Amino acid sequence: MLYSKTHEWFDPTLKKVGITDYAQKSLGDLTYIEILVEQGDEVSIGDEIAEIDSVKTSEVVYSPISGTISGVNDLLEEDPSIVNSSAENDGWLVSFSACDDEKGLMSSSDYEEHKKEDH
Amino acid sequence: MLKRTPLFNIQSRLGGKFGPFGKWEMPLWFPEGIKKEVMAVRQRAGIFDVSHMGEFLISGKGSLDFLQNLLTNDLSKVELNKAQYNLMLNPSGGVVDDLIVYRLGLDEWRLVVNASNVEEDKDWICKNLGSDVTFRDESDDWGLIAIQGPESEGVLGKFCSDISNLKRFELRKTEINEVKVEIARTGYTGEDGFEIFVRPMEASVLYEQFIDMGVSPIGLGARDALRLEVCYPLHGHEISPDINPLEAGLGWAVKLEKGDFIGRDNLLSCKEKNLRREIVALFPEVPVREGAEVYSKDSLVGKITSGLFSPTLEKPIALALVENFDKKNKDLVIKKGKRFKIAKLCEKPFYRR
Repeated sequence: MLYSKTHEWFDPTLKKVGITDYAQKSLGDLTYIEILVEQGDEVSIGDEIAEIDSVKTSEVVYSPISGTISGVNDLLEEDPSIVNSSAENDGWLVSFSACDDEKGLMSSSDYEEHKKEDH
Repeated sequence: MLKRTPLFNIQSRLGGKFGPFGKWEMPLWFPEGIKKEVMAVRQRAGIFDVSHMGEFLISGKGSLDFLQNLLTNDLSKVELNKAQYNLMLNPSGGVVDDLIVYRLGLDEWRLVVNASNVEEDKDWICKNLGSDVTFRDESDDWGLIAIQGPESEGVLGKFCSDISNLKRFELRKTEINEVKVEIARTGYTGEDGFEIFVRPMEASVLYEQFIDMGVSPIGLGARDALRLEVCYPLHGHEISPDINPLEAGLGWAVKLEKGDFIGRDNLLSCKEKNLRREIVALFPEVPVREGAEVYSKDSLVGKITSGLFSPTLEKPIALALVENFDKKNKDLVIKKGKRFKIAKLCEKPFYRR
């Protein structure tokens, strides 16, 4: 698993993207998730891919990689709390068919350090 | 360094997730989460730390006249040990702060003001102070705990047997397990409830007793959701130095006929000219936040002042400050980021117990 500075994760094996458990915890109860891309879209690093709302705040999720979207997690629209309970697994946001850029992403241990600085 | 209330340690132990609120470090939510906290207050009882709020003591022979000139409501109607909601205006009619005034004696009053406005309020009050009135900032002398929800009378009744006859907006000096307190039947949630003034040293002992009885700890996140569901204004959002109380729908707390008070002239001329911006309630299709632009038939009519997902109604709600638009058109559009979302105009409040 690789991580971005803005608290997204990317799984290079499944080619899935989501927000980290740390991000989920700092947002609190999620109430609404809107995925802003669809299958076939080409996205670049830093593009907005989703908007996540907790009771208190709205946060934009940026793509940690560049590539072509192959699927979106439709279940989240009905039940955004999946991201609260399983941010780095069932709570994935989008998947990629082809992606070519993992540069700038952090390893799990680097991300642990980043969280401490970010706090 | 952010300030901490006397309840910081106990709320920390309860797993509170803290964040900055003005100059204060306050719990935003507890492990149960905002949704469950809101439901606890709507269905049972919740306990809030509101010790960050400011308390001012106004006293002296001229205090009634002074307050009548400083505030919008009619203080002469407030009996001993009763409270009243008030607004403090600037000369242009904008709201310096909203506050609760308690009458402690013939010439003695307690003003409870918003935490984030304590310094501005103090400056404004002292600037207008007459010679026969004294002002004292007692903010550091009080802890303040709110118990809110349909079961709050039962919970408090375990400690003070006669609490059921305390009327709404009434204040009583009493004791809870030998701790001296002043209990008022007031709150900011739209539910029955109480606010308990207690000395800071004794606040956490008191708080813990309620927690031990199963009362849920509530953070600022749920507090904001609870007040927005019942359309109570929050200073800096629905009311501000640039928004007057008539625009905010608070005309019931403005007694224009009581005589002169600061801001009155401008409210009158605003009324005559019929120049009315107003706060309206909306059901947006997705959650929208403060500052988002509101459109009616392609023209910009205002901005969102508060918005969140209502845990009680299980849908997004919002208030907006709008002007110059035809209220017959109930379908508005809100700009969220780069996208446009539909919002339906609705009646206030969103929720009523």
